Amino acid sequence: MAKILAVDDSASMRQMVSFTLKGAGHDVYEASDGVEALKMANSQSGVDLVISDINMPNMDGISLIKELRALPDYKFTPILMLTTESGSDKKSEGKAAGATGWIVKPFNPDQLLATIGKVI
Amino acid sequence: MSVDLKQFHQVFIEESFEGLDAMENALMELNPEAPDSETINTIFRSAHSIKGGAGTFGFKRLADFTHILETLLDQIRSNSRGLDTNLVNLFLQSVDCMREMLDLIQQDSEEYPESARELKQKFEEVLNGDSKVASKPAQNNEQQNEDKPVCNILSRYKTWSIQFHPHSDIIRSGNDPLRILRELSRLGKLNCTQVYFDAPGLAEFDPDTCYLAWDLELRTSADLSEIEEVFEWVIDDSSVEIKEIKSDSVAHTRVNFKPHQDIYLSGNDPYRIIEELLINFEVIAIDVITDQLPELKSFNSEHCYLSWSIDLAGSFSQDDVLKAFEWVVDEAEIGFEKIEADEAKEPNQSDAENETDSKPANSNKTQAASDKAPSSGRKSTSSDASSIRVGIDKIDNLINMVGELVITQSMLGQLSTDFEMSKIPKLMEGLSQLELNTRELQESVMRIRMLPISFAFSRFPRMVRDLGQRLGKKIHLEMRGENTELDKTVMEKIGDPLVHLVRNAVDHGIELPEQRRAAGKDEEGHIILNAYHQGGNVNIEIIDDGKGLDRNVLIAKAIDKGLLSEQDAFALSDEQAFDLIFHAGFSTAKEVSDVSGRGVGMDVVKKNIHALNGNIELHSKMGEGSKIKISLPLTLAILDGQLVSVCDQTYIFPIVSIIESMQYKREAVNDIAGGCSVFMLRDEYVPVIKLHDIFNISKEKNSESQELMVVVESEGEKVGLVVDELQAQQQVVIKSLEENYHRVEGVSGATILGDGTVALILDIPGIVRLAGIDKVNEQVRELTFAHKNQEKKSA
Repeated sequence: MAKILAVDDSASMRQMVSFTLKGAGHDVYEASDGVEALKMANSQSGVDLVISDINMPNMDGISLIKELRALPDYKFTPILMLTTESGSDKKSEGKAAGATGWIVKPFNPDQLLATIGKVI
Repeated sequence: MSVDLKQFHQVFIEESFEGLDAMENALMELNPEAPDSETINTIFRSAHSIKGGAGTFGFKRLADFTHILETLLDQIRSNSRGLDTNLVNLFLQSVDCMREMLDLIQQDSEEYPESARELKQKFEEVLNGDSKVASKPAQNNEQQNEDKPVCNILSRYKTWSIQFHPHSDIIRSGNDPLRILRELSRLGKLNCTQVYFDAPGLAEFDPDTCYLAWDLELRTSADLSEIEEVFEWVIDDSSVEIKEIKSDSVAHTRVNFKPHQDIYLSGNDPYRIIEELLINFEVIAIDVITDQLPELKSFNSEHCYLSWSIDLAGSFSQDDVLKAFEWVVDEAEIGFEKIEADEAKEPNQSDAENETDSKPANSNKTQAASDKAPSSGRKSTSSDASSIRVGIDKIDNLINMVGELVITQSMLGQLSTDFEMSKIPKLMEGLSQLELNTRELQESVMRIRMLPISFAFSRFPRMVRDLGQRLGKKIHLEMRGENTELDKTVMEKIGDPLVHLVRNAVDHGIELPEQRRAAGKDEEGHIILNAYHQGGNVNIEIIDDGKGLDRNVLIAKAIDKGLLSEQDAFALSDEQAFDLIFHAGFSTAKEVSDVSGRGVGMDVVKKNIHALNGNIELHSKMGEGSKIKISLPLTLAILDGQLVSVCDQTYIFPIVSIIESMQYKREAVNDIAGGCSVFMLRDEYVPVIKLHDIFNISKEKNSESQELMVVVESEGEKVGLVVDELQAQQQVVIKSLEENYHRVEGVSGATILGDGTVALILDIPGIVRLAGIDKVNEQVRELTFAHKNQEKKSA
């Protein structure tokens, strides 16, 4: 069981991610944008994985990754970003910011579990 | 693990509708000449979210459609493409189109709106205008996935040499080389052939830096792309070399495996054993020996008649091989043969393929079938139950209220345990507290159904803009009181009438700019939508500063249509003249435009509003504009009622329909032809209906003198209803008759009174129809007219 922070402004995506991960026995915390996620990341310790959307209001995923990497607790924490196939430049931008990897949308719950299996 | 994605559909659809609203608003705000980047971002995000969700939840068409939209928006966002009004219009159309698609999805329909196809083509044209970056790559990807080559069992297992020399910063990106190795080992059998450790002295050692590198050997059925996928996130920075190690056809060992004929009965599957060999050893050939197969008639499907010879390359001990056969080795015949290089025989591959491929194929099929079953079974339950978003404050309030109710209840409970007469004041106090709690609770619950009217108003800015553009009119729309709350059901039903009225205001009310200039008005027309609470009602006003209604035109039209005689026209007040537009079959537009006058007339608007127990009034002044005021009850679930009794029965009149009540004087009643009576009410005649006749209640004769008459309005006409007694006025909760019994003409519902009895709520227009009065009205009107003339003469 891992502690996972799921960040997405779309409630349906967030619910799907969260439901899938909870179904696999993980402990999931949800945030709807970067600001909320950062607040949550600061208040939670021992987060094993962060899954974040890129396009979000208030604070986008790229900025979130940069902020998280700057926190000592999140120096090595795997951070996966949710991208779409059209965002190849986003991938490199995300990597530059410190993202561990990515999950390409659309994905189904099995793909999600398989992917996070790589990092936890 | 299988997750039923259907459960997220409703949320997805709702949030997509919200996203589309946000997108629409942002588009309306957008100034094409100087687009604001945050606004563009909002639009992009909406499209992006819908696309992501649609793809994930399997709405491929919606995903395809939004993909192209997103591509365009992305170009605009990154300033590689300009924006013009035309493009904004196209986006706005696409918002409508996506709404339509979402509606179809909600209805589980497979249809694809024609407009979507057209729009998509238009977008593609825009995109292809300067470059060919359409949605091609996405399609290609899919095809590749579908046509994945079916490889035969031997070529599926290969040995790969992998040199993995990670970038020294790899750990800082959260990628752990160990996890990558673990991932590789999941693909097959992983051996590490060499580890490099190139660390500096302890003084310079940096724990965040990766000094390790690996040479690996992986035996797997996965193909190159799957292996590369493991390195997907690090392959750009780290050095990763993946090469296939081809096995030469050299000396090898042949394993002859003849399972016991009852092997299947022990739950063992020869195929699984061979699979294990394939994973752990370098299998270069598999031969299936089928000569033991019996005639079909003596074939026993539970027996295994096959045996195999498997050629393994490389060096290994026989014990290692036997491990794969561990559970069957006692019953099976297993032999080992050393084969020299030149003897290596061409494997009889076709048999091996048939045998081994058929099984996974079958098992896939059954899995697919079982995956399908639940989803099709669940289809019928797919929720079209509409949901409602309730502010937390309302819920908190409700919980608070229930808390107080519980306290009152326990107080009363305690009182009852040792009750004495002296405690009566306390009991009374408790009961009044209970009443207060109940009423507050009722109000709070009703408030849950209340939504701000902005839900109904939100579509108007867009509509007015589009219509104005089409008609060449400049219009400023102002909305006031958008936070006024209204019952959800009322809101849904008021939508269409409002659209009609606003359309009318734009089409018929506001003049063209040049006309307005000529009339000395501002070129830009103003339409105001105003909502506010008044008493137990919500009032909605639609005010325009257009040309207003022309009394003479209306009257001429009414006479022309045969709705009015010339004589009557003379006597009409302004208000009555304006009311003419609410008559069926009355349309003042000279020609039917596609904006308004599409068959749905003001009469339908009026009827809809009346059906909601509401009222509509029109005020207009030539050249200055019109004002339409709609008043609606706050909710449909509760009605302000007047209780009346007829003999021993109690009925409820909606208070909104009552004009006045008076003593029923026999001498003021005239009987006219058609079996109807009319009552002389001041200077007009009002048809009289005796409720006890309508409901067939027998009545003692002598009581007539004490009867009362309630004058009500039914579809614009006054009608007097004779009852025995007026009782209290109170709010009643409407229970539907249709749901519990069936529709009854003249009755709109029922309610339960304080004493537990059931009372029927009267549907006034229905009663009038039941009495057959509506046909007499013409006669009554003539009578009134004659009476007025008489009065004039006598004066």
